[in-house]
Amino acid sequence: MNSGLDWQVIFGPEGRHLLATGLWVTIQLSFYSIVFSTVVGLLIAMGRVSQSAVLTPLRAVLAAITEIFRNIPLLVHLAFWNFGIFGFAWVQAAVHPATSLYSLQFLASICALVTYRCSYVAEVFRSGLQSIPKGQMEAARATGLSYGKTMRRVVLPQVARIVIPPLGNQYVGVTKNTSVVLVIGVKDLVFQAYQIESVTFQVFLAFGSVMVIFSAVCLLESAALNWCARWMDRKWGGAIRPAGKKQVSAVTA
Amino acid sequence: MHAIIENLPYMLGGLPYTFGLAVIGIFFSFFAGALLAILRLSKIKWLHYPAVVYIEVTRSIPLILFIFFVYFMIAGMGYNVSAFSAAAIATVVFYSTYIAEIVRAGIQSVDGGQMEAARATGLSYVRAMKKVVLPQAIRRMVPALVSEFTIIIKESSLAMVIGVPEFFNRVFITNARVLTEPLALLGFAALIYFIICYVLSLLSRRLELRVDQ
Repeated sequence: MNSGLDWQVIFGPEGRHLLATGLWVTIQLSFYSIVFSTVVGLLIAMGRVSQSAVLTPLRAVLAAITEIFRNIPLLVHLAFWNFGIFGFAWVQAAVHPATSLYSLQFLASICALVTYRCSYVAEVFRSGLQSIPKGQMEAARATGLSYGKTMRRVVLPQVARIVIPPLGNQYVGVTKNTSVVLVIGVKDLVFQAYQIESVTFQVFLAFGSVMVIFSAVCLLESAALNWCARWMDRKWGGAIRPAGKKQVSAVTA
Repeated sequence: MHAIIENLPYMLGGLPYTFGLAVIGIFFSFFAGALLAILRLSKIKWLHYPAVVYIEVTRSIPLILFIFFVYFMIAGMGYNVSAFSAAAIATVVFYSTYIAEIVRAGIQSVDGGQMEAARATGLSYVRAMKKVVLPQAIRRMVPALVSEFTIIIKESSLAMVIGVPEFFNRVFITNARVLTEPLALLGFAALIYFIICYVLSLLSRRLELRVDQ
């Protein structure tokens, strides 16, 4: 092994190019995964807190889905989407229009990241929704607002302020999770680091630089979420804290 | 189905590696994490800030990078390191920071009056911590630690990138060899992980109820 540090490896034109393209792939992956897992997670959560008796089977199915999805490692999700579902000819045909922009592996990665993360996001939203006192909904309905309007104007703004901190952790988790896609050959940051390392043997610089980039991206992300939470506090007044004893909970990676 | 039955002993033979990695991971990262938590809670600035920086930075880097880094760094320095030990070291370095946060939350959840009362009876800080605060804190931390153990079992599948022959790596290899039954094989892997993690999460929930009483 070369003992000296050859900074050209990451700051030279080639290294810069590899890292920049890798970063762009990582950012795209986390952007799409964050957006879709938020939407899917919110839908699951709203289904699970619904009250109507007709929806009982739906609630059971959603509860089972969240429980199953979160107990399966991300890599299994990834392999399942990539080799299993995207292996079917008709699925490939169905996503064919998108493949001019993104490779099949890229699409499979997004699906896997979303199915893995949406159950965590759903739990965050569910506990947020359940922490809003029922009286809020009843009072708003009593004043004549429709269910949809009550949700939009009364319940969700309160939920948003409660869920932003835990949601921020989930978003950082998504960005960190994107790093596993090199297993199916998506050329993200870690893949590029691996490439640089295998050509130059500069282990420290190749992986160290990507570590620095990752922590910068994740810290920026949580700073943005914090700013967002403060902005909401300014707009609607201080955040409500859900009552109850503070519990010691596990931190998801 | 055929592919699963034929390769069953080979694939299940990976489970000892999976559990080994997870047990070594949780055991050593508990002690490292407790140390980090105590440093972070310390009032001495030059103990507090390094611990904060270390925890926050490590938590914003993916585990897979630590696995690569540790493995290639140690190998590059000329030592002969097995992929398993490299993955175990990376797991401990990474998860100690997560467990540090659990321990910190556990210590902070113990009412401040406990420490004050213990000190007032004449116990030293260390003894009050050891005899009064920590026993209560650890009881509250157990459910979270079990959840973290579940997470480590799931994440140990990442060790496949450096070739640790753990469960998912073996399923992956089998799948690449058989090629025709990805849904069955990967579904099997999902099922096994689900059973392990679900049982552990039920355990964690029961412990949580007991702690609440």
